[in-house]
Amino acid sequence: MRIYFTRLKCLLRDKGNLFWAIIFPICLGTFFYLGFGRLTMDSMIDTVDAYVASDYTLDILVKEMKEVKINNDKPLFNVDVSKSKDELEQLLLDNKIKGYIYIENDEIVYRVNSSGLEQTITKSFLDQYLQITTLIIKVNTTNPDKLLDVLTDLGNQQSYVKEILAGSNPKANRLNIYFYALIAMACMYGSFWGVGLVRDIEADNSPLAARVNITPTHKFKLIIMYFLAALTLHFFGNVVLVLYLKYLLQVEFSNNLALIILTSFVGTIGGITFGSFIAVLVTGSPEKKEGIVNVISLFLSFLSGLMVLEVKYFIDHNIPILGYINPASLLTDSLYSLYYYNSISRYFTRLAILAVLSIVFIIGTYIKMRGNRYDSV
Amino acid sequence: MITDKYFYHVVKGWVVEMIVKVENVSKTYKNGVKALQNLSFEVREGEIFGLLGPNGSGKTTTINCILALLKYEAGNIEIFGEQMTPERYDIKAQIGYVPQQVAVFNELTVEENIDYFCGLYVKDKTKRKALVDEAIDFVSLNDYRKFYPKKLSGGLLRRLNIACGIAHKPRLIILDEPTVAVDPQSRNKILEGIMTLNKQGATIIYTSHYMEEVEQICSYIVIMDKGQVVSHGTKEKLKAMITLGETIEITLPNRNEAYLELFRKLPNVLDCFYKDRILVVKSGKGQTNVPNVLQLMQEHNINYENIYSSLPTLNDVFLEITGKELRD
Repeated sequence: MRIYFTRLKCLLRDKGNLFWAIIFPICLGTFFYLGFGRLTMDSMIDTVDAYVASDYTLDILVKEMKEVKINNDKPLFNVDVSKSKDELEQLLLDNKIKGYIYIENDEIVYRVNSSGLEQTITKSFLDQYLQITTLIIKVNTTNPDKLLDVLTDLGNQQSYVKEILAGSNPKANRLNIYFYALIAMACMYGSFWGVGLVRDIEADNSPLAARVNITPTHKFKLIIMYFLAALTLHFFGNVVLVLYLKYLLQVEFSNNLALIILTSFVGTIGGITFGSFIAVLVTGSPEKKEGIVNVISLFLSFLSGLMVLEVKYFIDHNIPILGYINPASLLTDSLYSLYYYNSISRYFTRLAILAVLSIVFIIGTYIKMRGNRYDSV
Repeated sequence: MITDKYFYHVVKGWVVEMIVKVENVSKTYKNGVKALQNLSFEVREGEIFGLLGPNGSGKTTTINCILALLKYEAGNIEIFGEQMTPERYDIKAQIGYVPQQVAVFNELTVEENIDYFCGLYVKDKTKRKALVDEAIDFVSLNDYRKFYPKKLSGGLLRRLNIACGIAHKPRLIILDEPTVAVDPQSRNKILEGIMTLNKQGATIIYTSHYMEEVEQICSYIVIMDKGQVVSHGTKEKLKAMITLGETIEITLPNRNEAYLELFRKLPNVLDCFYKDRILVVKSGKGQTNVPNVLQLMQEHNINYENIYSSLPTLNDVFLEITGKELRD
């Protein structure tokens, strides 16, 4: 434990590392917040194409969909009821449309071929529509005298759009993915600690590491202790970031804070192990390794939607495998599934993949480092 | 007679343990540079073993091979009679290493640095504290215990570097050019310290390109050049191997090329040349040539500012063997 505490002390006193790993993401989050503050919900949301099968339709649903507005004059849905279910199914298979709705046995079915913002909006609308209609039917059957009160209450409520898209956050929820990507990026910044771990243990990386190498301390022990120290500090930083985003900037996450923290924990492990793995694979100076890890981390964060949101949708839609091996995407997706889908299984799948990747990274790092003699030091 | 492999040697009737044995080691770097070529030598217990050679001669590569840090394509290295590999933690536990470059944590104070490195060898906290205090005393860094390395001068930093390598009281201490870029005061302190460590029982391997240091402290010397041993032995033996017996340096008011011929005609003179205004006369073994030189100068009315005679140095040994100076 002495090695762990000394390492922790070293990391805490390295102000450069602390800035990039802890302060910088908080600053970036603040800039996002300030920047997005100028964007209104209207500017973020476009009308969504919605297809309802002409042979399995429900007039009242179509009517409701056509009446929903983003603002007073901009409809939320562009409803198309001109095609049959078979035609729409074919279009879906051909990736010409993202989804369609049909009613069968009094059940509303929404078929999609992938996840995405438009699908989420449509699904949320349908969920809410179902809740309201179910409520009305239930009240009508059990307490018909209360029906008028219920309808009045519903009339006083916000529109569907606001219910679906606004929530308690004044900013559009779509922006949240930027904050999720920011958390993913902060976790990926743990890769710097990973590079530092290799730099201070691999003899050909620094004189200090060469010195440590000739001591009777087992390399595995050093790797674990250095890793745990980095994990402690970086995880602390990431928790601070999550709390800062959630409570100070009021960014909407899932209500389950514990799961968000868990995501951050696994993400931190992923970031550090990813950095150490790349650092043992790349030959050259620690500076070169840091540069390469930095570029890769930013690129992976970019693919997860940090800079351009559409990139994430593009990847998810066209190269889904990339989303499964990109730690940043896995992190973004985990948070995304908690918030948008409330899907625990999807969430845990992403997290489990990330955990497996982390194990692969750390084992790979150890295998490359163990009992090594070097070409030059 | 004990003949347990190379582990024991008998010197003057005493059994002396072989601490390090380097046998036919060859190392070529990826860029094609042949750093070591069939290098062999032995270090015995209680020695201050000097590895002397110019920069790039392969001293540090040799040390790194001994410590199992570097791969080498041929040869064998044993420490304490055992094959040295990166996994031999039992052997590593008995070695102290002071690298050429200062290798300490900038984020830790002097005391914390020594404690950290000592702790990689010594687990017992009380024992470690005593060892750390002793090491701090040893390198005279008591006034700088709470200083961070960045606040230390070059000399103090070198002393910290040494303290980190010796605090655990190792049986074998390897110092790789520990006095590079060190002021004379710190250098003397370091050299005295090394001799003290040796007196306390540690075997020392000391690399340097400063022949004076090696001459001053080493009991056995290996001279290296281009990755090979060019000569080895005690300093007396090394000096006895060469033909040079004396070097006389005469500082003249003006350089006069005609004098060279005069001095070359003196008995037993091997060579005569100018170094700026200094006329250098090198003589072979035997009686000193100083009286002959003085007489010649008197006969030819040669004025001089001063005259200085010296016995051969290790630089002369190196020069005679390789044809170049150690400092080249």
